Amino acid sequence: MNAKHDELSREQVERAGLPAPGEEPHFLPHPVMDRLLEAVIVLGGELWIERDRRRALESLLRSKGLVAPEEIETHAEADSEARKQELTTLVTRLLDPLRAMRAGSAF
Amino acid sequence: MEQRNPGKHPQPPRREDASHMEYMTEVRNFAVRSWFPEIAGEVGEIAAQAGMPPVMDARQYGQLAPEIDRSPAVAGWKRVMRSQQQLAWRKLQDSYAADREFWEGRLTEAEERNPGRLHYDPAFKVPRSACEDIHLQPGGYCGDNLAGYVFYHGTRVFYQGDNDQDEIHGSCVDAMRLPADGQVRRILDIGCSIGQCATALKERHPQAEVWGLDVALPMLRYAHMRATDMGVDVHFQQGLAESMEQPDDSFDAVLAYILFHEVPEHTFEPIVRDIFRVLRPGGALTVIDTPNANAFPAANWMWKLFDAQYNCEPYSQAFGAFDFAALLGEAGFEDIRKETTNTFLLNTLATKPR
Repeated sequence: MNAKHDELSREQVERAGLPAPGEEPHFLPHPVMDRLLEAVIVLGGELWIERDRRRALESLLRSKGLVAPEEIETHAEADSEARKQELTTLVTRLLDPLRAMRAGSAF
Repeated sequence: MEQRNPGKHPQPPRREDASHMEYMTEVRNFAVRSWFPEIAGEVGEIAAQAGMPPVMDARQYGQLAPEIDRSPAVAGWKRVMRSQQQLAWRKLQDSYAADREFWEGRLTEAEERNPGRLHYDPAFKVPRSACEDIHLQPGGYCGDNLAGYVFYHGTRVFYQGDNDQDEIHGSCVDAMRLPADGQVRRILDIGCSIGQCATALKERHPQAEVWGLDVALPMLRYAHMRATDMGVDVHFQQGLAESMEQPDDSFDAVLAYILFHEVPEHTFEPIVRDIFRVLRPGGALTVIDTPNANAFPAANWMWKLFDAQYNCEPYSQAFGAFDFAALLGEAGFEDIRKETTNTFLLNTLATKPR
């Protein structure tokens, strides 16, 4: 029963034309366009995550009377290395979709 | 500040994950509710210019598809839809995997706290058809012990907030046909996934013994943990819908919610026959699934084929073209009725003769 089941299901999967494992289809005229559009979506997600957290933080700081909004404008962070590392991580995550392009693929 | 409320489910691991899911929900909302109607208009115009009727069958759409796929709007929409799914799953899965031991421990702890409600045979062989990365979820429903956690939060994006309190599952349970004699002692939810309909069934019918059946153990373990945390008494069993380990004539009502469009066509008949077997005479079946009429506007075909091919629902096309009500009749059911309850699902109701 299971053997037949497996065989038929595989056949049906192939008929449905699924991309092969590890293959990412492109819908736009060039794969680069697909990757760039995905990068924009990723960027939007990262942007919202940060905005959401900042809103929560500023709201808490203000409600507890700890920090006035104008102090944030002029603050310099002590651990600049950690800050730099966070920026590097952000850029890596943002541009990672471009890595899905195959080396040597021609325009 | 308002906090997201996942209702009957836990929060995702980090605030960042919740924010990301919220963002992805908006991306999907934009693509589905705002952008798709415009695309449907454009696709409809392409179809009309090609001399096609407003509603067409699969063969007619096949002739039209190359033209439609050349539309930049269609191409961009497909990219956004696929990337949204992939990115949402990836972030959730990475987040849960970072503390895998803790989340697996929660499942085990629930099994120790509430034994005798999760039934499975460690030697059970999962068919390959159930091992696809359904909806692009990496590892699908069977390939990752944490699939249930990831599935719930990922489907929050799909349901656009309609499942935080299991709202859509509750409405499905309310739409079920029950036996005419009113006797409801045992109910079965086939393809129960993480048990949202099963717990809703128990809440609606507290006197009944409720069983949820699924092929995927990770989903069942999450379902069991969730029901345990909710204090709702449901049995969850791993098994195949076409060969259930349940006695003949043992259920008063059976529900199959969005099961059939995810299983291969050759299993439709054995599943229906086994449902007929386990229902008692006078028992009622409710199948809630995608429409299966083989006649849709071109834009709906475009979306259906996208789902089949690029959202990893490989068997959904076959279900869409299948006359499911006729199969129920051939299996011996009577009083078969179709009811459309919303824009994307069709209810098919049937009764086993007394």
